[in-house]
Amino acid sequence: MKLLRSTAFIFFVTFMALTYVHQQVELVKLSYSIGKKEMVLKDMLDRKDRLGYNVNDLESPSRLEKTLLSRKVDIAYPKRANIVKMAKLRYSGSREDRIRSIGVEKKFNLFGIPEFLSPRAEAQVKQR
Amino acid sequence: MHSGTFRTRQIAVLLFFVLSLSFLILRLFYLQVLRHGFYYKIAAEQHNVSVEIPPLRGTIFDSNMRVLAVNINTDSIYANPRLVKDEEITAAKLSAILNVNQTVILERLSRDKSFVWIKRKVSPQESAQVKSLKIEGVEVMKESKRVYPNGYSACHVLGTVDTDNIGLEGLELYYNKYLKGESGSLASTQDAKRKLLESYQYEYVPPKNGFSLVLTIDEVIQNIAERELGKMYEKYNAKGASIIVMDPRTGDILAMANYPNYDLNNFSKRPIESIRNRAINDFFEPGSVFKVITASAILEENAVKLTDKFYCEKGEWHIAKRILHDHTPHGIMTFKEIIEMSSNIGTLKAASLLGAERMYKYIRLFGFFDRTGIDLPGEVVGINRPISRWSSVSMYAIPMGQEVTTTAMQLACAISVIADNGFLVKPRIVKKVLDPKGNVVKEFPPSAIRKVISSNTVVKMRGVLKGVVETGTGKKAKVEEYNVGGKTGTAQKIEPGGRYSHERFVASFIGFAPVERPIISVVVCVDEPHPVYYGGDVAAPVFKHVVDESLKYLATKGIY
Repeated sequence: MKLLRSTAFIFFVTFMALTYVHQQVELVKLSYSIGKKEMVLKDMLDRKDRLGYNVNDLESPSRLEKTLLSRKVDIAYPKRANIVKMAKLRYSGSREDRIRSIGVEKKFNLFGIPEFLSPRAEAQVKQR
Repeated sequence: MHSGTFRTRQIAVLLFFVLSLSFLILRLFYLQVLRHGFYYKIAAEQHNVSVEIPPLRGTIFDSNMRVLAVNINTDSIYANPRLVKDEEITAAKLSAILNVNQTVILERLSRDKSFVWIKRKVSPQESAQVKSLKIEGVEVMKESKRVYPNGYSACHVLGTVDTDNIGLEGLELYYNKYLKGESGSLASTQDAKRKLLESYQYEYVPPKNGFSLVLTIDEVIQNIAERELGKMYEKYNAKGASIIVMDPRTGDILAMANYPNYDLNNFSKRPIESIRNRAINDFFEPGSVFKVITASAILEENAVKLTDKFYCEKGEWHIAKRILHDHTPHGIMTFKEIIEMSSNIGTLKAASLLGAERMYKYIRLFGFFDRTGIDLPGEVVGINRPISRWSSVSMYAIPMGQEVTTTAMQLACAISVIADNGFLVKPRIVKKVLDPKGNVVKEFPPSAIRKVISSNTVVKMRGVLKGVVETGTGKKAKVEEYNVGGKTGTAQKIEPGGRYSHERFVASFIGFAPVERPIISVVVCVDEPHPVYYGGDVAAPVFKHVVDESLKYLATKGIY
């Protein structure tokens, strides 16, 4: 009986010890796995930052000007007379108010009543 | 007999194992219990590390929230010399890729250390090439690098940072405390290869990233100013040139540029003469542009009326043991015409009716004795003498811009007095500071220092300065679509012996637009242009193009 108890105890302790070691090994493995994924994420974020920087660089006025000059594209700012200041749209209120605010008003059209009977062109997108 | 021998052997083996085990247990007890603290400390030193996490330096934006300076992560190459097998071959390989002297690399690899830098902040191509070599002991580490998308643009304003991202010049230095942020730390366990184990992190203090700056600089106007100044700088082989575009109503600096300039992304190779921000670091005798201050003082004090007439001595006037000359000889002219044609003789005759004390008072009021207070490091103030130290001939020099010195920045503030209804404003280059989430941490509101001249005088001066461009010396500053006002200046530089040079000049133009409701004031200063050196020929065309394009650009933005 004593031998059985001792053996069971030894097995239990060994099992617990192995479980602990296994857990630690898994933790280390997990660390490496997380580390790898974090590295990938970091690389992607760095790449995103670099791309953002490249976009800013490409959009810089001096570079744009040089590019346009090299392509012999001559552009200039518009004259004052050519600039039209647009009134700000008022988005509060009903749809009719909004239409009125931009100057397009739908008027009643007697001859437009039977329009729904006629065929209408519809935009179609063919997917391949 | 046989069984007795066997028994003895059994006991001997048992004793051997018991003694061995006892020895091991005792040794284990000694190591694990008695010497626990000692070995635990050694192990902890090897496994547990505390790593500093550097903060991300704040971004610098222009007034349209376009990025002017930002940080990106780049690779840095380092080595553990103890792990490098063949130092000479390794040095040769790295030298070929990284463009670093082979001897330097070899010296570093020969050190008895576990960490040496090979090259910091390398390009992605260089990093990829080094990685592909797979040299034992040579590793790659991520580091944050300051980059400037616009390269040369606003280089003197933005300034630079060192390898550790600490501000060295310009706004990077002035606002370093906001931009730098605070380091964080990570306490973690590392493996034998010094790789941090994510699951064994036991203390993490996140870094506090730096705040961002929003400038008053407008990227587009900055580009216009730099382009036009650059064209002139090359055309007239100038020694240096500066331009400031300012909103006189708020003191906002819309553009500030100097030549020679340098590439912010490669600043270590810049020539020495390109380093300083001439607009605030250099002072010079302003010459005829100073007549704006003289005329303002004369009109404000009612010493002379615009229609009062003076005889301009046909271009040569013998006074106080000196012979004064005008650029072109003139006879009788009104005071308005005197300023328009920039007559030295006429200006001095009018100024003599004002008197030295009142002249001195207005030099002070226009801010020539004080720093403008712009938020950039190293601003100087011109060396100007107090009235007690004026000589008997000072009043025959100061009203036409000699014996006084100024910076381009001070001139910008002075001309803005006329443009901003008589108020002297404090210039500003940073509008606000944002935290990493974009919330406003600090704002720098525009501020007026004092009222210098009355609105009545402002109206008169605007008319006079408009006349300079319409019919006077500044015709080349005339803009087709807008009424502009300004003043030309051609100042002789002083030779080492103390005499005025006849070969070296500072050409300048200061002005504002539109005259009816000024929204920009511009100062153009050109150091030693040749062969042409007149302000009206060299600086005025720069003013014209900058004002024309800037106003059209501002119109498209709905500002004007």
